[in-house]
Amino acid sequence: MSGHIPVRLHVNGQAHDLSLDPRVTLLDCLREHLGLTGTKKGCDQGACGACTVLADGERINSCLTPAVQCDGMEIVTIEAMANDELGTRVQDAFLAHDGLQCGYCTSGQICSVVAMLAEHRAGRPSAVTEDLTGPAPLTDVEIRERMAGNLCRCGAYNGIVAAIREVTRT
Amino acid sequence: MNVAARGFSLAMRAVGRVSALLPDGRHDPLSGRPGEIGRDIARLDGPAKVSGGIRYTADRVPARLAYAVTVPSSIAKGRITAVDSSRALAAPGVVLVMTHENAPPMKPTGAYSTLRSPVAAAAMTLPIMNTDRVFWHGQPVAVVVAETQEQAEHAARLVEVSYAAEPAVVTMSDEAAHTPAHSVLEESKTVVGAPHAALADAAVVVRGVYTTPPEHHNALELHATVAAWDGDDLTVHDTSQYPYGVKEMLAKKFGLPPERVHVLAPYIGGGFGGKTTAWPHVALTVAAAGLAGRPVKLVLSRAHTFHMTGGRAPTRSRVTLAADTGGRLTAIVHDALSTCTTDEFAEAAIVPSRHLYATPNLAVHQRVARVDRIQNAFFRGPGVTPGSFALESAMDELACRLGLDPLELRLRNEPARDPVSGRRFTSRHLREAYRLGAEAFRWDERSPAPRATRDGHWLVGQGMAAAINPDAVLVAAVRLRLHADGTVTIHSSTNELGAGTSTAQTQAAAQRLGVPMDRIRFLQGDSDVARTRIPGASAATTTLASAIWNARDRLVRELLTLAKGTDSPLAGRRPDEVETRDEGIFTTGGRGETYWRILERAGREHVEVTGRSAVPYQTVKRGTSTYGAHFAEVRVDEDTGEVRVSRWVGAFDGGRIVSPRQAASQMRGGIIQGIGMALMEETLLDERSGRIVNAGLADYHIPTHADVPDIEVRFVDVPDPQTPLGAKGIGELGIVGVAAAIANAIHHATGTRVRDLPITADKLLQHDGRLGVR
Repeated sequence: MSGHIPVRLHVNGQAHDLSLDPRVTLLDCLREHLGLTGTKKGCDQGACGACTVLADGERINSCLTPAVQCDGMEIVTIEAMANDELGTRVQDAFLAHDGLQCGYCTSGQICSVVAMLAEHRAGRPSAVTEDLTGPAPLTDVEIRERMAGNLCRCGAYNGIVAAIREVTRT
Repeated sequence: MNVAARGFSLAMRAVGRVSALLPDGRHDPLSGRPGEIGRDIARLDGPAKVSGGIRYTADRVPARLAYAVTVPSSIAKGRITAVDSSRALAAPGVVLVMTHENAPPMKPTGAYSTLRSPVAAAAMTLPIMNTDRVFWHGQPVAVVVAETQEQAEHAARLVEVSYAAEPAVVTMSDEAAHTPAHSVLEESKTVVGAPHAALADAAVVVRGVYTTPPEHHNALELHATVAAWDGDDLTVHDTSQYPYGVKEMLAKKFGLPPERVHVLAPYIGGGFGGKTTAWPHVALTVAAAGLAGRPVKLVLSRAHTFHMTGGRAPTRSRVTLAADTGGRLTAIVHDALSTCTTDEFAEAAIVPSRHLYATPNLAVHQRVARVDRIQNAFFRGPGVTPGSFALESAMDELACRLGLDPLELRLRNEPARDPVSGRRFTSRHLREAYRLGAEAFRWDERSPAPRATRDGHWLVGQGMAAAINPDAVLVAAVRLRLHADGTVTIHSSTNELGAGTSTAQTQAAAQRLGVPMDRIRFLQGDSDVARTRIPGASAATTTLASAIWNARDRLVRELLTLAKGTDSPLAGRRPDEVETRDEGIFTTGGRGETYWRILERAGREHVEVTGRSAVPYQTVKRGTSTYGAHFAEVRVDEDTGEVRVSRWVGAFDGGRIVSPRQAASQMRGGIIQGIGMALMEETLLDERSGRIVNAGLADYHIPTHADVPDIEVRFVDVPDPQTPLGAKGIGELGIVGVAAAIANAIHHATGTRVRDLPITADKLLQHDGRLGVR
């Protein structure tokens, strides 16, 4: 179609050659074009985190990312978390600690946790990290700050933090 | 008619219109019995939810789908003089533009919230898009349908609407106020004793004006509708808390027999009351799908959920409390004002003042002022939530004045009977909730004086408040099918909002039938199942349990009929001689057999029964409520006025707790929404235009991870003798009283009382001369 742009997306290990309207966000591309509806739209403005996916291992708001900008990138969504050792442990911990209610923010929370743990392992500080010279322990305050971009209106925060504690202990 | 009788008659009218009564003295045999009920298990839909496998409404992508986007009005009141759709229609991919000039006629329906017409789930009676009138800023005035979402969004901006604006009233004022016909099913005005004489004679009187702002639910799932016509059959996936109501509403609006309308809503991404009623976009999507001749999906943008779905109305409460020197209340006077539209739903802040404390003299009066805004909606704890901020703040002020511990003040005023009706309670264990909460919080270690504790630049304080919420069994039917393969399916038109309904009902049904949980499938959200009116009101647990109880009784009768005249050990047995356990029916003497054996002998693949809920007579006669106590600790930054909630214990009487892990999550969720209400949530209006100026989650703040401490939840967990399972509905209770507990803790930390929500840093700095000046 005129004005469309060819793009190759690698999603959950599978390549997709698409021709997209440049206005299509990565979120809508996943949901409406690729049938991967596990990623959710909560605000479409980068304020809620429900659309969080991994792009080349980094967590991003897929609603703020034009799909054509992701040409050649490795995208990982909630649908692939069961294939990932850490992803599975995070999912199990969410279940055990009731880190979810309606489930709508859950995909984004879980993707966010997986990337957040990698950021922390890589030694990246957060806004509440006091000592920037060495690795900061992942305290509750650190967890809550690092996860603050993922809103949950049902209020499953305590369960999510407990799930993260469990994953980092094991 | 006296007050009690009048209240009873109001309640009976509401119940009588919709349900059967369970005869007096018929108690649920499961109440208090150990088993699956009360077992701490993970939610059953959890595995699907953590893998992204649940299909919500907007996840539906039927073949030939077109996408719709709404155009909001840019005036609050007036008339549309012209709509120019030509540029939009010329844009790529546009299928149609629907306006009041070409929309199909949609018959007006009663608005649910008025209770005048409980069959209708429409949020409002207004003829949206069948009129050139504009009733609020943000009203949908056009719907653009296009091949893609992007094309529809672009074209929606090209629709040019001209208006003749008229003066609009968008803020609450006394001049426009009147007394509504009722206030959350109760009277709007009640006087007991001689309250004003009592005020004049009282040893201690405190007076305060407490205000709460408009708020929006902001469930993370955006409101969405996917509509498809197939001849005269209409299938609608909708983000509705009340699928059966949407079915009835659409049938009426489009002149269809109800059996041709199929509404599906198995999983909802949070509701909190905002998806109880169907807002105009639901019918507009159906109309657009009719015009387009293909399926249409409409997902409201986050901004449009503010403009096109209603929230909680603002409230202003004047509360006066009088007490003797011993801290016993001698009068409660609560005058409350809220806003409404032509559909007269009052956010009745007076409700908690009628039921929470013993007092010989009481006067409550609810008024509403009509505004040119979108219809206000149910929102978790309608009335009681803002009302408890007022009453429970005032109780704290009274405790300070008396020099009495605020918990002790409440214990001294705990009533033995309802203060207004004089009726006894079906159960009320608020004293026990106070005790559990205070113990877990170590309330006795709190120093009585305000501004006494400091931790560096943080001022630390503790506050508490009580919670109350009315409880009711509503109307539900379930279809229960026993299969020869040893499984059971239970179909319901209610759905899973995240509360854990399907998990709790599977637990209850397993114990009711004596069938292992993994062989029961609870299927939900299909409006075709049977008449079910549970739009919310914390009523799902007991109402569905009642319907499943009835289904079990009918099943036993069916199976005993099948066994009659055979070699079954149950041949000739009557229903009152048997019990259901161990996957079958057995006499008390232990004779009996499994369900599957009965089906096998009869050569049946399955047996199906429909069970209907019944309202226990005593819950109507006496009134049933849930209760709770919140204990909060806050830290207030002496330099900036920033408030952090640092510790929380909530203790609750919700009758018997069916599914403890999900129940605790529900309470935490309510408390967290209460933290939002106390400290950050407010829908801000441009008072000149009526436009909502913070219509988005970047500007309307809700609590996030960093705002929420570990919250400890305790349950009294004593069965109510009158209710199904001994349970009471707890979905709303958690939020009630939270804002007051925080306001009271802030007062204890700083010595400053803020009576206007949300308690933001600017208000604290303005009210507290010592904050921010160090």
